[in-house]
Amino acid sequence: MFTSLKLRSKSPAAVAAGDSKTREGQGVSQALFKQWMAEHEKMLRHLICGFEAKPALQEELFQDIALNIWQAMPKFRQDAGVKTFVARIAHNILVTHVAKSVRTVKTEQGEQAYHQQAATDVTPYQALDQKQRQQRLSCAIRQLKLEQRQVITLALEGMSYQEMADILCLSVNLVGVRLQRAKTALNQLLKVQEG
Amino acid sequence: MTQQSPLNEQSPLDDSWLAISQDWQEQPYEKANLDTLLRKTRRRTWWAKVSLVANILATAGMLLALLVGLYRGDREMPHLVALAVLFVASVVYVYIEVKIRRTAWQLNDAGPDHALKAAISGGESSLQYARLMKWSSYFLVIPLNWYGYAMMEYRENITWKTFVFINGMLLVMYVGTHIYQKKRERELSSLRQFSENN
Repeated sequence: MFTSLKLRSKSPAAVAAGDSKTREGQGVSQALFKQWMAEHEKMLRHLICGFEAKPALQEELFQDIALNIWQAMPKFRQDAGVKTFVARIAHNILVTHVAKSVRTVKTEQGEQAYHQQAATDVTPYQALDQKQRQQRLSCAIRQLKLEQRQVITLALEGMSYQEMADILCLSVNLVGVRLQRAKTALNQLLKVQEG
Repeated sequence: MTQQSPLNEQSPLDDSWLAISQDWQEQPYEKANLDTLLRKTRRRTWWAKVSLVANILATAGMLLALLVGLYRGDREMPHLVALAVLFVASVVYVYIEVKIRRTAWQLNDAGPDHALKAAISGGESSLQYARLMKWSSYFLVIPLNWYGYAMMEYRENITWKTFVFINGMLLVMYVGTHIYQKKRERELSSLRQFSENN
C-alpha cells in the first residue's frame, strides 16, 4: 500500500498528528500526501468523471479533493485503508457538489444532451471503439440517480461491497440493493443508445 | 449470505460487467504534477489561515488603538467612536467567519450524510454572514458619514470626495454581498431540496 521504506517507521496518523511543526514532520507529511495522491489519482479522476462532465469543473473538484485530503490527514486511522479514506473524502466533495448545483437546469441540460446524442448515435455499445465506449459509459453514469452513481463508480473501480459500505456509511446489504438497481438502470441507459 | 440476499441477485449487466469495468478503469487522464499540486494545496490552506489570523489581528488592533486613544486622550472623539463601532462589527464578523471555516473543515472525512449536513450548516452561516454585511452597509451609512463630517472640523483635507469614497465603498460592499448572498441562497436551497429527497 502506502508504506514505502522511508515511511514505514511512522504511522500516518502519528506523522500527520505528530509534531507537524518540525521540518522533518512536515517533510514526511508532504511525502505521504504525494504518495497517496500518486497512488489514487487515477481512481479520483475516474470518480470525478462519473459526477461532472465539464473538464474545468473536474479540475476544480480534483483540487478541492486534494485540499480536503491534506486537511483530513491528521484524522487518518490506520485501521481504515488509505483507498477507503481517500474515496470517502472524494465522495463527500462530489455529493456536495452535485447537491449544490442548480439541479433542475443541470439535469434538464444533461438529459437533453444525452437524448440528442442517443438519437444520432445508434451504434451498439460493443461495436464502438474504446474511447467512444468510455464517453458513452461516463455519460450514462452521469444520468443515474446520485445513490446509484455512488455505488456504480466505486464498483467499477473494483471495490468490494464492504469497502463501498465503509465509504458510503451504508450496510453491505443496502450497497447490494443499490448496486443491482444501478446496474439495471445503467443497462437500460446503454440499451437506449443501442436501440 | 442467504440465496435471497441482494448480493447474490443477477443483474442484466453482469455478463458485460468485466468489459465495462475495463473500459472505465482504462479511461485516459492527464496526470497531475504532484509538486505543483502540493504547493497549491499548501498555499490554499495557508491563505485560509492567514486571512483568518489577519482578521483577528485587525480586530485586536482596533481594540488596542481604541484603548490607547482613550488612555492618552490625544485622539479626536469621532475617531474613537468610529473605532469602537468598527471593533464591535469586526468581532461579530470574525465570530461568524470562524464558524464558517470550522464547518468547512468538518466536511472532509465523515460520511456523505454528515458532509451534506455540514454543507447545509456552512451555507446557513454564509447566508448569515451575507445578511450581516448587508445590514452593516445600511447601518454604517450614518455613522461613517457623520465621522467624515465631524472630522472636517479637525482635518482640512476632508472634502466632498471623502464622502463619495465612503458611500462608494459601502455601495460596492452592498452589491458584492448581494451577489454572494444570491449565489449562496441558490446553493442552500438546492442542498436542502436534495437532502429532503434523499
